[in-house]
Amino acid sequence: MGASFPLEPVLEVGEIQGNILGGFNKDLQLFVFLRMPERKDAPVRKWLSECVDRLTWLDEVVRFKRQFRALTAGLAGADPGHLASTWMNVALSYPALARLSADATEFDSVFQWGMPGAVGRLGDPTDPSIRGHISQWKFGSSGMVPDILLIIAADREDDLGDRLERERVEWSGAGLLEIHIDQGRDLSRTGTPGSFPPGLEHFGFKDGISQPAIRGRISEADNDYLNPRDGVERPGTTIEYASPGSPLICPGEFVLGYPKQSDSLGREASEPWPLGPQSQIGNIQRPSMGPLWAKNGSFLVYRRLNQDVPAFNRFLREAATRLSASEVPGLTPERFGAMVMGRWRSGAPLLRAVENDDFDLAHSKGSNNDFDFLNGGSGADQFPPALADATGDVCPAAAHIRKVNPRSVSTDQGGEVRTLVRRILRRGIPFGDPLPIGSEDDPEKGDRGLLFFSYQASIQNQFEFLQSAWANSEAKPTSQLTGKAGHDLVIGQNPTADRSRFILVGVDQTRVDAPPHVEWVFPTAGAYFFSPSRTALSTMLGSSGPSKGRSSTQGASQRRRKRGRRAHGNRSGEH
Amino acid sequence: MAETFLPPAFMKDFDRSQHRDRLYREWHNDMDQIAGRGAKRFPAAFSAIDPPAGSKPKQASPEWTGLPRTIKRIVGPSIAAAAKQVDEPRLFGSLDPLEPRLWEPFRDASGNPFKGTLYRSQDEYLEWAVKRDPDGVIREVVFTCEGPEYWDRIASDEKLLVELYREVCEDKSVALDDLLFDQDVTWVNPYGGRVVERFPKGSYNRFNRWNGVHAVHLTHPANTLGAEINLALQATRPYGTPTLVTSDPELACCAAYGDVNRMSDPTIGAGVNTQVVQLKRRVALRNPIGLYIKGMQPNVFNLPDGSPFADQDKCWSILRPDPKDVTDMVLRARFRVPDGITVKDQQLRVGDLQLYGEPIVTGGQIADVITMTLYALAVPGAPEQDAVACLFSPCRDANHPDFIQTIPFGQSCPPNGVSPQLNSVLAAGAEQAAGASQAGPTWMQLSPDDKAPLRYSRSPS
Repeated sequence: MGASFPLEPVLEVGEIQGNILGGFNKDLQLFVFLRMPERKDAPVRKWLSECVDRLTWLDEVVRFKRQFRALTAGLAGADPGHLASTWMNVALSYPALARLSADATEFDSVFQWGMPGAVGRLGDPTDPSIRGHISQWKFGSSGMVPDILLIIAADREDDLGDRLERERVEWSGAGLLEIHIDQGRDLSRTGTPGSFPPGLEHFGFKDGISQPAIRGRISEADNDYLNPRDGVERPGTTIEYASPGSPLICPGEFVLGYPKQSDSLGREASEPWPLGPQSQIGNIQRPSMGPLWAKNGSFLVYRRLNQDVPAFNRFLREAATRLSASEVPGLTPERFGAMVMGRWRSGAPLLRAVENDDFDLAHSKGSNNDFDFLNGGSGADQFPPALADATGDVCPAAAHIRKVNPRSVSTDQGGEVRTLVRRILRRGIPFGDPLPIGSEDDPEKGDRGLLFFSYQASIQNQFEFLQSAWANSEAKPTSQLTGKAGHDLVIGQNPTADRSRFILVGVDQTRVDAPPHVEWVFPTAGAYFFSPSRTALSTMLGSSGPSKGRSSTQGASQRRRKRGRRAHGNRSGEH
Repeated sequence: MAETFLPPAFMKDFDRSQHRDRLYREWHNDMDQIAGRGAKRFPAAFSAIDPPAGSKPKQASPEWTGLPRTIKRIVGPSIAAAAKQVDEPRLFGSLDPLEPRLWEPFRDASGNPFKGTLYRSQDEYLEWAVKRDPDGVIREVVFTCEGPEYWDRIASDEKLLVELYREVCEDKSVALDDLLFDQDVTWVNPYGGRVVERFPKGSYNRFNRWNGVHAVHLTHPANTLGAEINLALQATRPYGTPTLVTSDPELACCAAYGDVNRMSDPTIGAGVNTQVVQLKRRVALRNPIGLYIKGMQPNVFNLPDGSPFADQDKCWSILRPDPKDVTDMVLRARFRVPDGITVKDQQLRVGDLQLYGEPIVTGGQIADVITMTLYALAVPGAPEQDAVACLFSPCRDANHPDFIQTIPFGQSCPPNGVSPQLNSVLAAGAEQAAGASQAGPTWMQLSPDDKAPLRYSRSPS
């Protein structure tokens, strides 16, 4: 007899690391990559178990954000500067997990082989002489995979520095070796205050506007949802939205152990990813996604993506100049950039601001994400209603935001519901000093870009799929409507030998080729990690570890509840 | 001279026949009947050789991958485990993991099951044959997407038929008798008992053993050009009353123009339907009509030590059409590591490679990274049409939550999902695929009034 899976399960908020479902979203973030000492696991286990109460769990992030929302509501949206926190999360790569737990071999094979095994699939250069080849990375090539990633995030510089030093003492004491630190920083916190608005990436475009919403409750109360809902019924779709452009997706797509999103029915949950030893159906072996203790954990993909800002700006200018002289009169580099991205630099969607950027629209939360590529907008707000543009006449079918999230347009995978199971939780932040917007000069050849990282329950089906099957494709995801529409010219890579890329723009689908052998986004480091639960860190990884198979979910849950109550009491007065 | 429908991928096989002109003419007639004049039955369809005057068609190309999504939905998440279920040719009447009920469509003159016909349980318009070394390691996999109708036409010139089989199978021992029925047989509707087609002794047997072993052309009963064309035409109608249904899986269930669990059918159907219903365009399949291999996802394989395999391109060779004649339409290709590519001084073989961290133990794993396509044309001007009432709705399967069951439209899904006996069939199918059971299949007579949707069909018949 089949089981039904709860659509809004109660999330174990004291078990799940806070950045996964809550999102730290701090302006200042450090990514510390550590290596375990040879043959000395015990101090590392001790460090991990002691870390548990210094880490930030979902309950704390939720409390903070609710408090923040309440305060900003009273301040008409202004930032309540006195509310600040410093948060930390941890993740381990497969080599580290395999050292610390015998049943780590139950993790899925894509995670086990890690990013060194994935670079071909991801479309990274195969020629060692080309920038972006894994041999040139700062870390992440075979034998250079960090064991541990610490994420430290703060609102204030001093807090961040202090926390780093305190943590450094701890990890050094455990014999962990610091192999690299990436410093993520919102560009508004660099250079002259006010020179950059918040939330931009180095090409000058607002990033991170559209995120999926996550189903699930944080208590037994019926409506105590992790992600609040606007309650608006949207006709013509089987998907439920929390707010415009934010579809509700079952938590099992991001955290293991919870019901997955049904990939055929928008408002149904499906069986969680299997955990534990391989299961059997008849005589078929079903590999699992991880060991039993992987429950409440999530896979973390880290990609250090450098951005060649002058090359990108030069391309925009030259292509716009060429097109404006023929097929698209009056085209500016800014508008062509909006075509490549799908949004203007401010974040205003091209389908709601066709000719010029619209800062009011960009800053209107809700309206700036209220559009669809298939259906026209309702015009319920003061901004121009979104155009219907299934074939990409206005917003090209290969625009970045369409490639990675085609919204309600059917894809090669099927209807809009099947796009839900490909979504990821993006938590990226820029690194490096910015150049002036539009700059084509960089005499110092600065090291800058995006520290991309995402959480998902299946690296293969989510992150890798979006990159390799859609962004890197000259045709997918909507070729059944648009034919060969081109590549995602922001993150897409053509894995074939010539690595050529193009995009079709305008009503006449004019082809614009990217300059040969110039890639303005290229990886310089990366790795796959796993963010374990509190219980996993305390009992499986952070202690000497019970023997394989002893990780009773019920027992772990009971232990967690006891510790959780203590921990909650300790942290309640932190803010 | 009026344009005619040409053989898939502009193949030139007919040029080698003494009956060249007849073959071209008959092929044109075959296609014209269903996609030319046949398209006239559908107001929003048009014939690619007779497009609306003055129109400048835009091209669209649905894409899908070759490993049956149905088996992935049932078995997942391991691609290797899923592919194992469908990798080998099977006898009609044997248990099939994609089909919950046994059926044996071929009957002899006495009405008894006719034994010995082979097909592949690979229903995404791509089929493959695996060749292994004596130690069981895969040496090569050959893929085909040639529709059986084209080979039916070739078979009208027996000399050409044998000649081509010998070439494609790379075996001079192919004999004409191997390719023909040795007695009168009939093909019956498996769920209704009605005779669909009669094959007199001496007529071409699509399911002959050479095709079974070498994958000369498509064998799955749903893998036909006619099915592709019919699906595309049916999809030019609006579905759902009073509210239009425009998105999958509801659309594929409502229209019942194909199997909702496949990847190909819903992708093709929804692509066409969106063109017509939402973009108000008329649609045709581009001449020459065919199902095509677009290519293989680049750089997806790894060496045994997990490092990327840099020579993937060298392993992929197009067999039909001749490489010098290839445009954007490929019908047959081979994946094999060329001699001389070694690891630790040993010749590398396909079975030594890995995909998504799993060793290659099936051809289906490779099929999963092969992109399939067909080419459609669209022009403005779809007329208004009355919507067709829905036939079915999607429901969750009780045992395989990712597998979609269909129930009659208007009924409610059971809270715990629809509960067929898929598990037991799958388990038995797996045993047979693994060679554990050599006993002959048990014929199960299906009731003539069985109204369940035909899983094998791309259109209820």
